[in-house]
Amino acid sequence: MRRLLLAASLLASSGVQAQEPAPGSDEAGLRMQVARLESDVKNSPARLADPKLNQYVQTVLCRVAAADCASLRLYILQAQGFSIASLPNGALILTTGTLLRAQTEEQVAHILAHEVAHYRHRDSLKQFNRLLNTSSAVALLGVAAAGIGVDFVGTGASMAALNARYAHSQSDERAADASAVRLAAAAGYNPLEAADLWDRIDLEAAADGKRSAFARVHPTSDDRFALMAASAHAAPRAAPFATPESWNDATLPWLQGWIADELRRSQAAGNVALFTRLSAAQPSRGLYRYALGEAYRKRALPGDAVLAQTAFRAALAAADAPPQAWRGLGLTAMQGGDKDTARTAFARYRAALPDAEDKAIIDYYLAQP
Amino acid sequence: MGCGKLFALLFLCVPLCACDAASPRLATTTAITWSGPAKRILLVTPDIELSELTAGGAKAPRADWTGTAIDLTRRTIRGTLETRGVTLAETDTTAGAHESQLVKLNSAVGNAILLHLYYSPIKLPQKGDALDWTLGPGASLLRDKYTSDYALFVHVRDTYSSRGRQALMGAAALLLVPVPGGFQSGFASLVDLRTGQIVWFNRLLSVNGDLRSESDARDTVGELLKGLPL
Repeated sequence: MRRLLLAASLLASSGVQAQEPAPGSDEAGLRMQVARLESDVKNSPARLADPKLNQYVQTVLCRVAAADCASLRLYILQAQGFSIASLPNGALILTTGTLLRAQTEEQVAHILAHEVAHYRHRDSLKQFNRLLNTSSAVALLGVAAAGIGVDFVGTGASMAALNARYAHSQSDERAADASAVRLAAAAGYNPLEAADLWDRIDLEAAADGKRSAFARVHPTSDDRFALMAASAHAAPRAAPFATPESWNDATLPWLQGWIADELRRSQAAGNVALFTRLSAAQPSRGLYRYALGEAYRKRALPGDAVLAQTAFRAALAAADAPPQAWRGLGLTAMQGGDKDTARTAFARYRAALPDAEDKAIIDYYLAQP
Repeated sequence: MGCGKLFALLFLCVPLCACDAASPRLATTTAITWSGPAKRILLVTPDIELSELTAGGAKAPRADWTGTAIDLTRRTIRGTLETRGVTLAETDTTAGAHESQLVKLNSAVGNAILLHLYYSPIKLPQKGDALDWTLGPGASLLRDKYTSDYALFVHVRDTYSSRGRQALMGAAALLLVPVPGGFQSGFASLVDLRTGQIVWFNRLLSVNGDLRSESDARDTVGELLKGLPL
């Protein structure tokens, strides 16, 4: 009997539905929609095609998910920003922007472990049921208020509905945090990396003057750090095996594209925070310095032109500097009235990329006295 | 007509009145031609979803109704077209990325047609009343794969009021607040797979239709295929 109970609770906690939901039930409807969503993701032109990188992330996922690995399907979509979601049917979707922000295999492992924990706890299903209930309540309130002639499309109510729609509850997040630390530690990843990672992602959102959907419902970094540190010491930990080089090598061919995606965002302040962090972690990488320069140039607060120039110069001192760093240096120097530097920089850019899309405007700048 | 349907009708009245009454549209430039003696068309798996409207207006999708509706629609279309001497191919379940993108493209184009061809305030000046839309040459993928000259696409979203919704509609009516009930909306289109051109298009908009039983489904499919030049 005890064994039977244990088996039942394992099934309930593993996220794998033990039996088919009743026809006509909310859960059956959810399954249908989720299957459609997954098929859309699967056939999306935005899917990262590279089998090597997919395989790498899949391997990390399987390490942290352990027994659940067989029921999880990983999809990487080329998109900016930090975003990861698990569907109740086992589809796990993350963006390349998420991979850009994870600087080591260890951090990727923690991000994936957090999502695996949500999947195990069946949090997406709870989310769906909450949507049904909350939006019903909001519409009911709307009808009631319209009935007495008051305009009731309140921001508060809409926000509450939106939060309920897009986010897990704080208690679900705490539970996921605690499970994720144990999962990652059991797979050999340093649990203390986790709190630090979430902290930096929160900081980036805060730089944009808002709290990300992630930060809004997730526990504050202080709470998180305390909880994770406690869990970290308690967690059984296998021997570490990840080397910083392996993740670096795997992502290097993609970095420039991911950085370009990120720079297209309108959140220049968040990009400054992001690339400051990435440059500090890997000072020898010219690509990050270049991106930081571009982020400053686009933020364009007083003093940013100087900061941008410093970043571009640091980028150009690195071995992997993209030629666009010359253009950035030229533009910021021109802005500061330093014509000689601008001219030299533009000339280097034109020489390095003779067919650049913006060659006409650069040639125009070069022709100025 | 139940209380729910009546209120849905009231709610729909405004957009409906701005619409053109004639539903099926035919591209005048393109005649139906066959590349061989057999008339063979492809029925793309109907894109149908049936939901229950909760009291608050959230749509709770129903897997059982949706499954039944897709099945009934396919069978009814097959029956209808076979009596007209048309052989029907059907898309297989393991559609690749290109194929599923074509279905999505058709939904997007179909919605644009609904908006600009049926809704007179935003008619496109250059197109006027002509059915002049195409999925592009990429549609030939389906022609090669299923050896069919045309493809029939069906897109339907259908909602039904729950008991709670019906009660709310009744209560709101006392306060003269219009609360919409369930209704069907969708379209069918016939695409020439040699060119991608949409040669026939029909809109479905109904508060009476039902896709959950065989006899009602026959009526809805009849509405959907009205004027099909086959």
